[in-house]
Amino acid sequence: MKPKFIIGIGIIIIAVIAIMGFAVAGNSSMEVAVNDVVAQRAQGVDLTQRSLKLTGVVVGDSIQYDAGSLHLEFDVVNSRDDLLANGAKAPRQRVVYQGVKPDTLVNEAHAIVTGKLSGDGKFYAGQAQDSLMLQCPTKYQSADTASR
Amino acid sequence: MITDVGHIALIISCVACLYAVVASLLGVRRNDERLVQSGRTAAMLVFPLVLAACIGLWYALLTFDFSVKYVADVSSLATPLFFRITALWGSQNGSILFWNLLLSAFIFAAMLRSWKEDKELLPYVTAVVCTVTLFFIAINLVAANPFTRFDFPPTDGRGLNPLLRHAGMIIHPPMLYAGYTSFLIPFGFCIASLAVGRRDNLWLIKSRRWTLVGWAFLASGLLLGARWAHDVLGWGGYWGWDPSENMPFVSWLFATAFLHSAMIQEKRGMFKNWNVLLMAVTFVSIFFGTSFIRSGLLTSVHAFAQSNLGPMFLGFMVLILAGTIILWFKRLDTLRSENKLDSWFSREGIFLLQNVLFVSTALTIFLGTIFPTITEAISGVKITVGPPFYNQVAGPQLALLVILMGIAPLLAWRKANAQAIGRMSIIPAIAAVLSLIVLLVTGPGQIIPSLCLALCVYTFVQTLLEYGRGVQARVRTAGESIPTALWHLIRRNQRRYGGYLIHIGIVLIAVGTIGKGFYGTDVIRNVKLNESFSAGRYTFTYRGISNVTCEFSDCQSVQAALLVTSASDGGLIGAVFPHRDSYPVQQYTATLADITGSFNEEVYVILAGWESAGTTASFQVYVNPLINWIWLGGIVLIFGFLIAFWQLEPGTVRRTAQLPQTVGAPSK
Repeated sequence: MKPKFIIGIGIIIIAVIAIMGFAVAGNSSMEVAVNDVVAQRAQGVDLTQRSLKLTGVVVGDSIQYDAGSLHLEFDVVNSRDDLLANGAKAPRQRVVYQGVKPDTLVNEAHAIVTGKLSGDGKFYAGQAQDSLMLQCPTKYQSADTASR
Repeated sequence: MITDVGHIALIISCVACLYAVVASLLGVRRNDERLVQSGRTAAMLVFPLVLAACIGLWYALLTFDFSVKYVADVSSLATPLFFRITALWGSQNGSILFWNLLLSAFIFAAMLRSWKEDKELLPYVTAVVCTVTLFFIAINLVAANPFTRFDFPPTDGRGLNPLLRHAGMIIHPPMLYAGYTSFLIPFGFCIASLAVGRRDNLWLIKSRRWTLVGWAFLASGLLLGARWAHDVLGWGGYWGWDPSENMPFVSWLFATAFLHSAMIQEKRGMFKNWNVLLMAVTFVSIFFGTSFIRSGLLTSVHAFAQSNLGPMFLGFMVLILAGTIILWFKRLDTLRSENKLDSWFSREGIFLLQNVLFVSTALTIFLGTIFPTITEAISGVKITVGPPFYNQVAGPQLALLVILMGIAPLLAWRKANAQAIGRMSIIPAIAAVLSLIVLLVTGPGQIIPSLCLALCVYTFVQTLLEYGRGVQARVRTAGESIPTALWHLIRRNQRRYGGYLIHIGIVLIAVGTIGKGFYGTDVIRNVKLNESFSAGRYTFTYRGISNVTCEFSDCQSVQAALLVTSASDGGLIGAVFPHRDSYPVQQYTATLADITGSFNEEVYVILAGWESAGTTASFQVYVNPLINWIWLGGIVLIFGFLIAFWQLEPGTVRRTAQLPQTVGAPSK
């Protein structure tokens, strides 16, 4: 292949990598489980500075929703096993979400919340459409089957 | 009984696959034509056997045989007949069986045809496709068996997941699966050609229609999935850059790159080793996608993390990839290019550029998807990237591809004439500039989306002109009327003009994504009875909620009524009735939007909640400009595919191999 083609392709690749670099820097969030947050807070680590993606399992009893102000709060625990074994004593994290309560927000649902941890100890979900994601059908089905 | 026969048939199909592989390879080694033919027969036998297995499972589903675990998982006494039939792919174990049905059906069709000039490929094709099928049938028998029974059967099942009770969801998985599985055949041809050491394009020509079918199925699977998400998930969107969407999209991008670069190999004998790699990468990406989503390595709302199939899929995929690369290295001398690339400014050059862009787009989406896994391996912390990452990275690359789509057909092979291209670009360029001005002056006035839309106009007009120039030439030389000329033009070169129609479909889809992505808005409101609120150019007045009959017997439905009027003059537009269906057995509530507005501006209204029997209620309204263009583009795309696929005159393929030497000359 002639040099001009190699140079051309090289330029495209470098440009794409550069765009990727910028895009990663601006749009990435660190994935943490509830236990990580609890453990880091106990150690005094400040997690409030960066965007986080919190994964956990929803505690059904803790869901509070005010439809008038569209204010939603609920607790997540580390895992289903944690919830079943330790119940109310399982380490948990409060999540605050501004918006319509999703239908899939039920007890034991697997939640993925993108947002920031605030100084008040609560985790505030961001405004993006995907800042609160919950289990999809396929998983929902197998999880439920397993629990029977 | 019938169900058990199905189970036994599946076991026998596994044996048939194994026999087909062994007989084919032994046949080659011993040069025994009879053995090769018996391998072929065994490969064809797999289809009726897997079909029998499916009938067995269907029988269990239709007769409410809840002693079969799978049946109890995906249906109940209340499940209507139609959904009991589609429940075959309603959950993992059944969907793998369905996957095997498709694989074996495609193998059957591929084996059925007469093998003449490609006879020497037959045993290798049989061996490759049956090895892959053997793997999946074995998984179906060992790790994901849909025929497993309960010791103590329940009296009723759980019923099909409410989210899956939608036409889009009924067709979407089979479409996607068909897209995935049909790539097995071209992959088989590709490997066979390498194994034999052929230098020609036989494998490309013989597998071309399979590739096209796979591509179209993937495209429609993706579009139907998007439509399902739009209709059922109550979020106003259609695409969320979730791993389960990204992975098939990545495969589709690779496949699209392959379809284009295969043309260069056919016409100029170039890009041969690149094409082999692209085919392998397309096929492997399908494996990777399905396995990765199932592996639990990614945080996807779609992932079934409890599946134990991920590692098996990954292992098998690594084997396939390693085997292909070794074979590719051994055969590098047979894959030499017959021609040299002279200039960027040529059909070949722009195809190269477009190929680089397709692959880099696919790779960037892929890297974004597996980014958490990479960062976790390096630093122990999962870092994820959200939808803005994909929009920023893939968006510009896809926009460039849309421009290339408009320019590429103008360029001649070897070296194009810049003046001629400039001449042919005048009308589309004027159309683009005019639309840019109109958009900036009368539209919402944002510069980036206006520019993107103007580029779409350029490509759209340029593609239409391709038809126009062809018709004009026929009218002039053959004296035909315009409709006759168009008919003959398309019939004489269905691949080309079907392809252009696909390009138009893609432009329409691009317009839809730009409209929704840049101009879409949403409003969330909690209102009292008879209170009004506005969203975009619409005013909604809440008139109360009521219980209504649900479509399914296992659900209860609550519906809200809203009057829709124009926000500017108060004129009546209509009414919307968004509803929420709750399913007590599944403990699930579905939010179903009602839609109003126009073709160009969809207004998507959902009932988010209500208090005190409906004295107040919350609504979310999404104004989605141009979103319907996506679905329209999808229909055009499929229509274009059908034209390209259904060759009315089989001979046309050869004739087009003559290169049009002049710019823009209508192909004969």
